[in-house]
Amino acid sequence: MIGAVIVLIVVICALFASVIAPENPGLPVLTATLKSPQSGHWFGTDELGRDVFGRIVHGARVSLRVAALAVGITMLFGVPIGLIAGFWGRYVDAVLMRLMDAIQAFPMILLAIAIASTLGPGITNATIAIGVVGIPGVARLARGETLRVKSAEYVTAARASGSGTGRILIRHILPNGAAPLIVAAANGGAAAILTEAALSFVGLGAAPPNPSWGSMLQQGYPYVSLAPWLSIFPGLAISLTTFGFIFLGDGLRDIFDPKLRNR
Amino acid sequence: MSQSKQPIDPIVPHTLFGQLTRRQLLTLTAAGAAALAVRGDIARAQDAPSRGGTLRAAAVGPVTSLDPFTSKLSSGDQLLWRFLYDSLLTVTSTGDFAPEVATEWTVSDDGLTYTFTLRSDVKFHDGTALDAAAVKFNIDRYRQEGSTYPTADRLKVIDTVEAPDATTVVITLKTPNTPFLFNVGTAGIVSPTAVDALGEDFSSKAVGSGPFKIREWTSGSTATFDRWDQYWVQGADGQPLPYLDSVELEGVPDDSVRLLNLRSGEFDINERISPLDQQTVKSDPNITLVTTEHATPYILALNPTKAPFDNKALRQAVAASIDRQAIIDNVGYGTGYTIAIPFLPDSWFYIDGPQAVFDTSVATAKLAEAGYPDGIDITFTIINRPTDNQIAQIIKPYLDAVNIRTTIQVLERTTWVDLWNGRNGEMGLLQGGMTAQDPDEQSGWFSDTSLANYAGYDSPQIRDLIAQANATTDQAARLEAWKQIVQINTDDAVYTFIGAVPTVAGVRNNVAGFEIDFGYFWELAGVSLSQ
Repeated sequence: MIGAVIVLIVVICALFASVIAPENPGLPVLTATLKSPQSGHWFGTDELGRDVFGRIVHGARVSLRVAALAVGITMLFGVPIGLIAGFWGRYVDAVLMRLMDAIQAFPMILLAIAIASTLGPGITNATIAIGVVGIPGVARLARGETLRVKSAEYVTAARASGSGTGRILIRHILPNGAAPLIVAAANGGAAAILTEAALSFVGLGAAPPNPSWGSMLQQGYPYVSLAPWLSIFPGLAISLTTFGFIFLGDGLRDIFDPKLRNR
Repeated sequence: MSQSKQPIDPIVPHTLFGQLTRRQLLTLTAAGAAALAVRGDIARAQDAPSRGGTLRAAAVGPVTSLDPFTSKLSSGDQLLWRFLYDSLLTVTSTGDFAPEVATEWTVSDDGLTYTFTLRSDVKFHDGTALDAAAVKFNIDRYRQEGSTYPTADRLKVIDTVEAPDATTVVITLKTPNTPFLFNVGTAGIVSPTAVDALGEDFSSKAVGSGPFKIREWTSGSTATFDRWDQYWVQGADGQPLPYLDSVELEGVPDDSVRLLNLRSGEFDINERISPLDQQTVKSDPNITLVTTEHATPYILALNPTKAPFDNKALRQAVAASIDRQAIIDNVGYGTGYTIAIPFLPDSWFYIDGPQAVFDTSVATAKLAEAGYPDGIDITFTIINRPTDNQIAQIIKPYLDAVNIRTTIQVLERTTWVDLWNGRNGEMGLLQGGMTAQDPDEQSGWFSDTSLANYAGYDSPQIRDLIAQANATTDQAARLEAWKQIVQINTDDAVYTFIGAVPTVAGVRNNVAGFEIDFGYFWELAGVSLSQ
């Protein structure tokens, strides 16, 4: 469970950022600019003399919060849409799924940029944008699971015993189709962190001086030949955390999938 | 321009000629030719510029139009105007006017009538003649009602333009205006025939009379130019300039990309090397740094047209809270300096103060005086550019420290411009340009019609002083007026001029004869490439 370990480390960084790196991550120290990695500054300092390690630790907060909220938005809208479309079928299914197709027809990052720039820059709007672009994928998955489960005998039995539609959806269909959705949520976390980095890189994410890994990459970019540590360490943080979430998703799938587990 | 440079014979000292017979001279010349052949390329490169080749140059800004009339004044546009167009006059690197299309010019004693005498051998790229009628057409086009020419404002002082014969242009002004000679003299002259024939296409298919003609340009792409083989200026070898066969100009906003491509040889000239990169470039044997008569000033703007910054004491509180020296030291890596107004320190009109003084106790007192003893929340809108980002993050803690609680908002350039042109910004950050041409270059900050006045600063007192300064030819009196302008501006604190960082270009060593003139135009006619 290497994925779980990485994600746990990031979570700990985010929760205890102020303990691990007590200095204010946004405050310039103009006497200590662009110092290469050394003791006291493991990852060097940036163009404003701020400790890169401290900013990455604090940046974990931004990344994780975005990942959690964005995945929350995706699930909150994607799962019900999929359940309803799959369960009712026919024109409800057709309308909802064509709508999802329409959203999915746009490249994910382009759509996120379009939404974020319409709403205006800022981390909240970026989070909403990232959440929205994930909805169609989850809705499709939820619909597929609903279609698979809804003809199962226990659903027929529940209906025969007089259960209402809402109760069938929530008590019977959702729990039995949940495993792939949980895996999708973990993978969605990885995508959210990458998309946030991309949005921040083009200036649509976290407002300075708040450290976000994407905005750190953006600000370090002009110095890439002289102070590569400004780009390398935030880049590593993004890749490792993304890997962490993907491995976590893989691990969860192994646990949920009985065929793989018995192997 | 360098066309007057004489070739120096590498072998025969000139003083010998008087004592030699024709035969001896021929012998010596033959020996010289042999010696030259042995010395090879090095001697040729130094003494007679070699012809041919393609120069590839990178500008910071994109090319937005080839026609000065419809340009958005991007640096990419400005650089290429001297490739395509001649003007009546040029300005030498020492700031003096020199003849170009106009061989001579006179100004009447009352300062109202300017008479230019033109060369008769200048041809546009479409074969038509550049005569007095063409000059009149251009000036009228630039100054016409509803003109989109970015500096049309400065030509409004013209009353009439006449072309009594093919080589004489007479311009009459409404009031005397000292910056006028620069403003009219350095405007690019386009072909009237082509303007009529091409219509809107003129901005991408421009026709001028300069050393290069356009081969191809579409918006967003590289502009390519071919040599104009009937250019009227001759080179050191007695043949028409330019030496180069062609030029490619590309707008590359990213400092690192421009630098990497200069170092790899992909570009021969890089418009701007960032202060930090200059240190590494210094150790590169293939690249020479060229310091220009140009710098980039950084300006803090407070919107005086609406609350809360319609409050002068509050603006003064902001100006007193920030350490401008610390900011400019950080972004300029030691090459920058603080300024009172964007005037170059080595220009004749340099004014060093009064500048805003960093004093937190003054800031706190002014904040209380403004009616905000408990501080205030401010939105600081900046354009998404690395340096703006850097400066804003230094300013924020200074303001936070005196309880002017600042939230930085990063916007795309167009969004930012819309916000500020609508007078809806609160606090903003600007970049400008400054050259050593004339103090009037900076009058846009104070003009009620200029688009450069993003904050909407409206000081009748300053506008009177500018009118007064422009109406006199007495440079000392003009300087005096500008000193008062600086004083009023610093006190009003609508624009706080933080500081400036000099523009340094990077040129590969295979490029000879590269010059950037006083108005920050690139002179490429005399440029040659060694193999």
